[in-house]
Amino acid sequence: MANEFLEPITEQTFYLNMGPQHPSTHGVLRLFLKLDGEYIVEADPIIGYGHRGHEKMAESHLYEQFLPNTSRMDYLAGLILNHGYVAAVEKMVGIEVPPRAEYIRVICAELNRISSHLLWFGTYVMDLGGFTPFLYSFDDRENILDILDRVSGSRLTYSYCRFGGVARDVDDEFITATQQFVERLRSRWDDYHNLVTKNVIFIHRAKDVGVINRELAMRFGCTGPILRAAGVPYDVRKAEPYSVYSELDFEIPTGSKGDALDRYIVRLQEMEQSLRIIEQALERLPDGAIKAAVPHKVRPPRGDYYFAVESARGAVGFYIVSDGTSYPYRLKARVPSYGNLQVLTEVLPGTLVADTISILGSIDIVVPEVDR
Amino acid sequence: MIKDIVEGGWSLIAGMWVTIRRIYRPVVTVQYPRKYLEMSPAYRGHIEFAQFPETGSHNCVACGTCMRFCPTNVIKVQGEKTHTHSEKRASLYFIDFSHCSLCGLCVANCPTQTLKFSGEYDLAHYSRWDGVVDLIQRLEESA
Amino acid sequence: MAAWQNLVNFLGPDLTRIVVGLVGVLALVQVNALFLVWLERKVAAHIQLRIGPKEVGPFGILQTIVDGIKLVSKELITPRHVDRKLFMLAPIAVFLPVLVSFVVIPFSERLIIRDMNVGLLLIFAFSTFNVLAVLVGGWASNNKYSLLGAVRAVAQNVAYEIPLLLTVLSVVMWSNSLQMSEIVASQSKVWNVFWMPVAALIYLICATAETNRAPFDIPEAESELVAGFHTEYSGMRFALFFLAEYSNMLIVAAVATTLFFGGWKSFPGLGFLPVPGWIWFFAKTYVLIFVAMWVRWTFPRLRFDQLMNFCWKIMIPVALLHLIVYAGVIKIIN
Repeated sequence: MANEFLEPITEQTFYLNMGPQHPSTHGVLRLFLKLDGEYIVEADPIIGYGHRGHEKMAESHLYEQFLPNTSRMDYLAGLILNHGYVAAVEKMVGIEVPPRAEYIRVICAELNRISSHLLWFGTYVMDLGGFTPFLYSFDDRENILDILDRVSGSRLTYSYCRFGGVARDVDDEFITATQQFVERLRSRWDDYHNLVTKNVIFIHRAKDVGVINRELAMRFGCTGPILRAAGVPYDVRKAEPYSVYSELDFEIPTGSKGDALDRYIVRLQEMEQSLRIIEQALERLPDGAIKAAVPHKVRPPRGDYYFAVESARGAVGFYIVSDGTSYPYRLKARVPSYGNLQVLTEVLPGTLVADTISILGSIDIVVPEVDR
Repeated sequence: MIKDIVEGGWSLIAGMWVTIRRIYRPVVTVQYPRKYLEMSPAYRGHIEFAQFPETGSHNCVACGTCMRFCPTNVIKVQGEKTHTHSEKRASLYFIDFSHCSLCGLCVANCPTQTLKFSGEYDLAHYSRWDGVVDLIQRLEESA
Repeated sequence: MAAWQNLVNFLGPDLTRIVVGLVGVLALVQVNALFLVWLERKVAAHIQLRIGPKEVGPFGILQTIVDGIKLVSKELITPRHVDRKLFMLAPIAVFLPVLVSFVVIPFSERLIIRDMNVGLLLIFAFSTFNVLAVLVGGWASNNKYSLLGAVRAVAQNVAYEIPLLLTVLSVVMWSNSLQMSEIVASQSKVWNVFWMPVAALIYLICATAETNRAPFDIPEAESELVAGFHTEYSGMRFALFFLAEYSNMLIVAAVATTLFFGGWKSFPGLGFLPVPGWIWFFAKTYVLIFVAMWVRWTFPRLRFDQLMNFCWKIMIPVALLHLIVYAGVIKIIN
């Protein structure tokens, strides 16, 4: 691609640099577009503007010290990434997590998933030009942040999971607040559907736009709602159940076509399933300890380990190589946004500039997660 | 064709009905400098010393665990012994809040539970040195 | 008083009326823009469960004045590679036709600067200038986003002018005149909106598109084109584009009031109230503007090709059909 900067611009086509500073590239993504009028001939997502070297950082940090970094990769689902990393290390060391801690983790992770999807809902509609749904979804999201703030003490970068459990126990107020939130969000679906889902303009903007079909999604390693919207019912929570997900009853919503509207509907249905999970987990929440006994300094045995969880955007995996010391030898985070973003090169050509925004919004990337 | 137009038009009216109802709903925002929200009891501000009623002071023994666990190395602690065989006590404890990621590893790993989170959140400042907090001085001032 | 007499003697009554009227219109345009910006922010805020401006003046009504002062005091930045003359011309060109259009709008029975017999034609002729200014501004900016925005604006405005004029034609046929006061007089019994609602609806949709407001704001679609044709403008030049947008809103709403909502006439059944005509006129106009704002803060934006399809495949055929049907009906009635 770099050589094409030097290529003379023909009369028909011209280049447009969308980003890294652009209102709707969701952070510092740069899209290098070759345009024919308003149609896109070639698209090249250029990443790395938000690179902070998290994986390298892990090698000079204790296992405990890397924890805050995980929620800074995907800042919208920080708790789920916390959970993934902590569970990976627990698998390495062989720590049994008390059931109460597991349930608390699941409840908080699902709340976090809903908050991420709500934010996505708002920003996607805002990308399409509708401002008001953004504010409504943020109003609801604020409730989740308040709930998580009460339990973890932080609103975005939680660092809430700890090796062997969670940092703080939940109280009754948390449980009632969560139950109230579940009811509140259920009462909101009507407004969301009337305002956005059924809106004829929205349907026209999302339907048949950016079709990522089954083959394409699997070829690029897409996971999460994108893969499910293409009709593949793959969800780490069901495929390789971790934590207590195997005890809970929920469904995996799937789409059929894999267009932006399918992805939208899959996400809305996922929020509903998350509410179901939260309800069940709150009912079953056992008493007991919230933290297992963990050695003062974690020293996993030699070997390499992989553990995957389902974040709001897809499968997050932590691959950790240990050399027996208290520092990881190598840590590799497999993040969903990276694979999801690469599809753009295949999907964008032939669409309009306005569709670019719609497609980019609908695949829901978090650029700091891509760059790490 | 006509059905599409009617259905589309109806969906637009339904959307407008959703928004117009909100005009008379109470606002959800808080007028920040006029009103303050109450922070949750778990809120993680920067760390500070807890005051123990038995001693009337902190219990920091300057073991340095917080220093070693801190991912961003913002904690500096030094201790001194009053006499040869006594326990060490912290004489200097500084954190550089501007680099702190509020992960809480220091609080979680403190062997004497003398560290806790403060509830402070108005922490913007003009100079990078304003972010440095002297915990011992802070404790004395609050006492 | 003597000086005033001298001025009238010197200019003659007609010219005096125009000079005084234009000064009045200038004041109206400014005050209206200040008020509308404030209203827009308040409506948006309350729809979105916020408060909106509240610090400067009661309910924040002076906020826009302060914003205006800030914009005036800003440096006028001209980027290096722009076409300087056109770049400076565009904000002026977008603003001037706005003033002219107000000359023929009947605010009340007697409050009209000049009641020309081609009033309606004059308004539509001058409102077309707007497109030219946008194109010039976007082209001269030498920015790809601006250029795309300008191209979109031209295509959109040219397309939407057709159904707009077609619907207006049916009104003109009914009133048998292009004179604004005649059109209002023709609605003395029943407002046009009640017996040609389709025309009113098409007019309002097209007017929204003409003023580049959401959901038809694709020339400046900020999530796609950053700020569209005025990406490179700042300071007072940007303020002029802004002023023109809100003045255009006032014009299309005022024209809609005149054409479809009975102009300065009272609301049906409220004729006994001792309220002067211009208050009725502005009440109707601002209600229409409020609806436009309400629409803007509710819907997402259309895509460009859908916008054009909507115009060419739905609006124009319906407008044409409407014109033919009403031509027949009017012929029969007369």
